[in-house]
Amino acid sequence: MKIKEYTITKENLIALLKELTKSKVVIAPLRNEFDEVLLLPVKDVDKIVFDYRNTINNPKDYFLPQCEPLFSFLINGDSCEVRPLEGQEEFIIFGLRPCDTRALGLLDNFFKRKFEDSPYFRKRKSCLIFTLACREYFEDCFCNAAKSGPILEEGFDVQLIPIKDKFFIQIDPERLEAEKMLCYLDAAKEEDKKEVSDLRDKLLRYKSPFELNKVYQNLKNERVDPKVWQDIASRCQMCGLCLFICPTCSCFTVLDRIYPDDSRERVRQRDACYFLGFSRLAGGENPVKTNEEMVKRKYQHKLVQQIDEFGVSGCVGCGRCVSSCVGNVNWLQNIIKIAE
Amino acid sequence: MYNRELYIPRIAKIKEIKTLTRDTKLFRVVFKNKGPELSLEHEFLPGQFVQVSVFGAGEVPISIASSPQDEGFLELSIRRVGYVSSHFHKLNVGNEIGIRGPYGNYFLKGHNGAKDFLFAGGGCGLAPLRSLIKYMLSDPRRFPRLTVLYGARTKDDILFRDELYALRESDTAEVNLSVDCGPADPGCEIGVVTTLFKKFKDLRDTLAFLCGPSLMMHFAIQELLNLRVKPEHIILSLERYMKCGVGKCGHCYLKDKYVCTDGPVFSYKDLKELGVEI
Ligand SMILES: Cc1cc2nc3c(=O)[nH]c(=O)nc-3n(C[C@H](O)[C@H](O)[C@H](O)COP(=O)(O)OP(=O)(O)OC[C@H]3O[C@@H](n4cnc5c(N)ncnc54)[C@H](O)[C@@H]3O)c2cc1C
Ligand code: SF4
Ligand code: SF4
Ligand code: FES
Repeated sequence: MKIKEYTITKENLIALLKELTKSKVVIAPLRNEFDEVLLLPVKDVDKIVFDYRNTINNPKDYFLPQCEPLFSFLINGDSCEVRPLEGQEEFIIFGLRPCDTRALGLLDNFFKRKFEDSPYFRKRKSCLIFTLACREYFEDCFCNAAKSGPILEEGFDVQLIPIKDKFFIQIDPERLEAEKMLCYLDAAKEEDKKEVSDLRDKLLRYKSPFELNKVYQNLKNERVDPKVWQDIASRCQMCGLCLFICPTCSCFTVLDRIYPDDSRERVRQRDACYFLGFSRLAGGENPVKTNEEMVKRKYQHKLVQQIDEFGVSGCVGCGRCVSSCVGNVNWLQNIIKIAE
Repeated sequence: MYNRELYIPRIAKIKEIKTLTRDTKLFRVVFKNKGPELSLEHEFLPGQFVQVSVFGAGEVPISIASSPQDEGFLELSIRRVGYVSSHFHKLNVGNEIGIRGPYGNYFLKGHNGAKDFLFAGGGCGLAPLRSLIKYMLSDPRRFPRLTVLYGARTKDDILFRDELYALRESDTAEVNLSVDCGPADPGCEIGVVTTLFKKFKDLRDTLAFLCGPSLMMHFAIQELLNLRVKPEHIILSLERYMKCGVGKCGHCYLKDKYVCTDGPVFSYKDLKELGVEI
């Protein structure tokens, strides 16, 4: 079905969010006491932040959290009993950036491949997302090269584009019935549409830092200078940070927990392919023989395998890993080198 | 599927435990409850594996060692190597474990026309091959000539020794055994697995199935290629660190493939094309 287009004033948007928080948990960008902006559950809608680059945390926190139970179990003498998880409440994420919206779309495809991942989809299917498009590019992010922003063409539930004094709002009728919120919306006028398409054109004219197809070809055909991998391997501290904060990284490990009250759960916990033990077999053999091979796997997976399987880049260009690496391994600069 | 929910194992009861070697035990297990929409124990294909849980300790991938012809139970041979496998070895008959699966692909795809089948196993790699061998033995018209090559560290490490000896006596298959270090029983060679290939001159129409430690597979592949077996007729089962078995946890990722869902069975030709060194 065709995307429906309206405009909404900021006052009406706040009023709509207030209405929504009455029945659902709303997660949105909020500023903490250190002046950082994070996606957090909203208590006071008036505190929602609109002037942020991107949030420190990413939507993965709400769909593939750092640690989550898969089921609980009881052991009674010889016999065992497993108990599935309790129900999931509906929630809303407001203010997700286009790159992170894309990242979630990629996770949707990933968690559907071969087998549908029930713990992921019980949360995903209970969530409605309001994407907030960007009007400019920020330092370290490169959604234009990764083809994931700064304004989405498709793949959102609701997208808000800030224009003069108000927001242009696009609604996917399969995800949300616009009719139910008509009292908050205004018709989109021709001049509003023109403002959006002018903004899009202006943003498209920016030079992209690399050409994705070139990166893909060079990686796929092994046309990358081995020095690139040696350099990354020599500086990477294997802390896993870049992978934990990446909105598209989804690796996890599984373990059984026994709590002091003797309740027991099997949990999954995020894991990182830059940890040394990630591939090591019992007995000590490790099929990933060198650190170069290990660091290369991430580039290969995100920039070749995921493009082959899902048709979109596994890196959405959010820039989080670029600005936070302790070893100064600059993911963006490395991709630029690979594209050469 | 044996289990209803992706990550929630189905409870199975241990019916029988056999000690195979000093570090490997064979567990025969049966599902506790039958569900109309859930598969029965024997509904799998040789080469597939299950994710097996000792609740409280964890879950590990284990090949199904019984044959799809063995109705009413599953057999798993588990070697004690680490945390979860050690907990398995502490279990008794009557204890309950969890099973998810069956997962992965299987050995027999497009073998049309082949009449000669060779199995090369090392260490506990015999488990998935045993499933296939038992399956093929039950249909001699389709699978007329079977040769089993198996190498273990010492004579006490030979898995399924009684079955292998019985098979050798029965003449339904040729069985050649070797041990890395002596002493050896009569008819069993001393030396690495390559010694077992000496007696062959040309195996060009043979379909070969391999499973074992990577060094053993490496040398067996060289021997097979020298004996003119086609790369696409060398079929191996790979072992990779696995946490989910269903293509999600990322641990088994190997050159653009997920071993748990795209494998664990690959042909040597496929692996070469992927750029995997064996
Ligand atoms: C497809 C497949 C089939 C297998 N079939 C058998 C079999 O029939 N019999 C048998 O004895 N062993 C088999 N293995 C190997 C077996 O899974 C490992 O020995 C076992 O996971 C070791 O777990 P642990 O907790 O005892 O060891 P630890 O060293 O304590 O390992 C910790 C964790 O690492 C992971 N891990 C470590 N080594 C391996 C490994 N080799 N493969 C996969 N995950 C690993 C597991 O998640 C394990 O829980 C198979 C492995 C695969 C991939
Ligand atoms: S954040 Fe930097 S140092 Fe840490 S694992 Fe990633 S690349 Fe390596
Ligand atoms: S790889 Fe880095 S820039 Fe790309 S999506 Fe992940 S965190 Fe963002
Ligand atoms: S075992 Fe988890 S992805 Fe293969």
